[in-house]
Amino acid sequence: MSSSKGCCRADFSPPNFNSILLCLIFNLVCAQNLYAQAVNYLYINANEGTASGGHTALRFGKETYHFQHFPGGIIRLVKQASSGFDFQYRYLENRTLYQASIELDSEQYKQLRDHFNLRFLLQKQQNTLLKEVQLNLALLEPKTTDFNSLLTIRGAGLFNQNAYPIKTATFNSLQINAQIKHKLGSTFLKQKNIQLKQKLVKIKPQPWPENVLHLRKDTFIPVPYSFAQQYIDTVSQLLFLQILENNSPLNEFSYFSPEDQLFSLSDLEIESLVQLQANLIDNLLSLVNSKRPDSGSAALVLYARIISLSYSINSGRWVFLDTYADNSPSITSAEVEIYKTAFKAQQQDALSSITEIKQQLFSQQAITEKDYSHFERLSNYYYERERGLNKRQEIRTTGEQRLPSKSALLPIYLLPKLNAQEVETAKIRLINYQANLTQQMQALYPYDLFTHNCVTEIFAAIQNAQVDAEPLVNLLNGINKDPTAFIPYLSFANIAGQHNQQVLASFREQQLEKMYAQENNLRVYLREFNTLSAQDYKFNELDAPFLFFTNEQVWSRPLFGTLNLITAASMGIYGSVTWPFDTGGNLKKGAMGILMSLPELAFFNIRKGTYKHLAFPVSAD
Amino acid sequence: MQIKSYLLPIFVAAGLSQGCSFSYSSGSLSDSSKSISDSISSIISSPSSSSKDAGKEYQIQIMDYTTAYLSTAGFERAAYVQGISEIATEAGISNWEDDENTLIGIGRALKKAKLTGSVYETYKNSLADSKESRMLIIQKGYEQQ
Repeated sequence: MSSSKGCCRADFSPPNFNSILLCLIFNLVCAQNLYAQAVNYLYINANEGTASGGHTALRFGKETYHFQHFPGGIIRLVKQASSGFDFQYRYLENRTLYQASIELDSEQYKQLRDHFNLRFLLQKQQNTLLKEVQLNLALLEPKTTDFNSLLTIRGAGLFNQNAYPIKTATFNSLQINAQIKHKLGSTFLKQKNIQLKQKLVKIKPQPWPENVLHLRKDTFIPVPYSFAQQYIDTVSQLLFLQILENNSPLNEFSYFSPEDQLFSLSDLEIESLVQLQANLIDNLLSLVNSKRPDSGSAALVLYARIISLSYSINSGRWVFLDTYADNSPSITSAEVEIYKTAFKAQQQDALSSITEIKQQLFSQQAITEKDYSHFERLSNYYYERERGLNKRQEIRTTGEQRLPSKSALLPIYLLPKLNAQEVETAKIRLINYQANLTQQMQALYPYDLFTHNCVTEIFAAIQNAQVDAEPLVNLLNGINKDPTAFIPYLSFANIAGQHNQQVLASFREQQLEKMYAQENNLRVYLREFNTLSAQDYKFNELDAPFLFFTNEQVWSRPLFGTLNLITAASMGIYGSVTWPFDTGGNLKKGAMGILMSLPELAFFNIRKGTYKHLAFPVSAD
Repeated sequence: MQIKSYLLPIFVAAGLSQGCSFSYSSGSLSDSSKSISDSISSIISSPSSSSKDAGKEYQIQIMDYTTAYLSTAGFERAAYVQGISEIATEAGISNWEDDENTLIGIGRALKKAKLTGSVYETYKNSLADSKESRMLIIQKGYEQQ
């Protein structure tokens, strides 16, 4: 910018054609540089666990795309938030990321990003199609395990359908319920109820259109609005009407109010919540009258939120819905105790963010549903830690969502009433679809260690994008000529020389750097070179047993590797004794430990140790 | 990042010892399809910037999905709507039919898919459920793209 300014500064001398032309050319060059964007090729170095041979990814700013190996022998494109990707690989998995920046102009960058995104969307859609077959099969075979996991009504679990309405001053939804019913009109609920029941009887399994059953690598397919989906959507609408009609209260496990003083509400804040609630009621009325097929689930969630807002307004303290997904992973109270410091740090970080977001929320003219969802989700994350630490309970480590989804099983009395012939015909058809689609997926996306892995697929996708850009052409030429470029490390080495490089340090590397800067070097070394006294490292079940870190210094690797090998071998011997009692768990760990220690004897390091339950870094870089 | 030649066989062996990152999510990509602003790490590390960017990113997600869907041979509204609901739910929006960012994203997609004239009007009408206020916002998105 400054160059451009200097070139075109105001000048009172007569205009000179040459200088104007030069100025224009210079500006064009400047403009091109201004709009240049870097796509980053990432090499994630080796560590124990999955991708022990390293991994690769392509990063477009906040989006990171990488190919992962999935069960069934297929390799598919995955899209992750760059911050989440870094947190997983650099922090939890403690790997160093090496980044090569490939400069493209904005149009080329957009074209390449759109190609990766479209590819991701169409693969996801094909996966949804396969899941749709599973869903339909589950509805036809109510005794299978899939029935309980797949055939659920999203949002229905937020309510206690068997309880009478609560009439305490705080947790009372009678008034709001009456207001909604009044707005809908007295006959509306009855008529809609009859319509839905009639519709339910008419929904029958149908063959799917031929075009959706032929998968291609470059074609986005529409997933049919299937029999099972239609059925679940209609039941959801019916359940919503029943819950509204019966004034069913919220399930006592589906809401909470955090203890911290930050969650009390002032009169002004309560006024804002009253306004938000009124807007949400309008949204609910719009939803109930909508032609949107999945309006039932959305209405259940929205209605639950309206009631929880009533609880907040009546009590003068925030009352949130539990937004954790049904299958959120959790850890035991014993593990919470081990990682207490980390969870306390996470709780504190969340509280700071909540303070900032709360301020933003109430400084707006009106709170939007989206902003409220954002705030509620973060409060769920915070409360999970507050509750777990204060009450010494288990903690759900992930799974908080922006909208609650607590589901309930499809009621048995509402199961489809099909005759045996209809069920059999539909089942045969679906089983054929399933076999056929699975076969096509395996043919389209086969995983192979040498020819179809996380490296080869990235470059194949870049080639398919057909972006007319010199840096990409050079990059592909280099890769195609190198027979070893299918190995993550060597693919990076191949292209790194031609582009700007950056090393993104792993968690342990960052911690060590800080320690060496602040403490006595010898003291830090003596404390941190082994797993027993290292400050941040806690031995966990994801790592095979080892005693010494060998990542930092090359010269000591054979010595420390030998000692690590002895440790792992001892574990193996112990495992062979405990094998009948732990189904070979210790034996496997011993074997893995030996495998990870062997390269250390030859000055090579794979294992770096992993970290669990870290607090999120304040800055992702 | 210089490779010593004598270490090459070890790198190769290590590279082959176990392949790329493995997903244990039983073939499901649902976890990886979440919105980019959805990562809790991004919210905690930068609470104010994540909320500012979220609206824009959400619009792009709606636009990308709609553009992809418009490329299909037959357009079935009920099936299309499911994908939109999934994206909106992840963003914390239950009634997306009246949400401005959703409608703008749809409008931008109609332009990106190069729909014009009566074809555009038909799609606009169908996606807005013939509601004038929604059609106006879709049009705004169309003109923005």
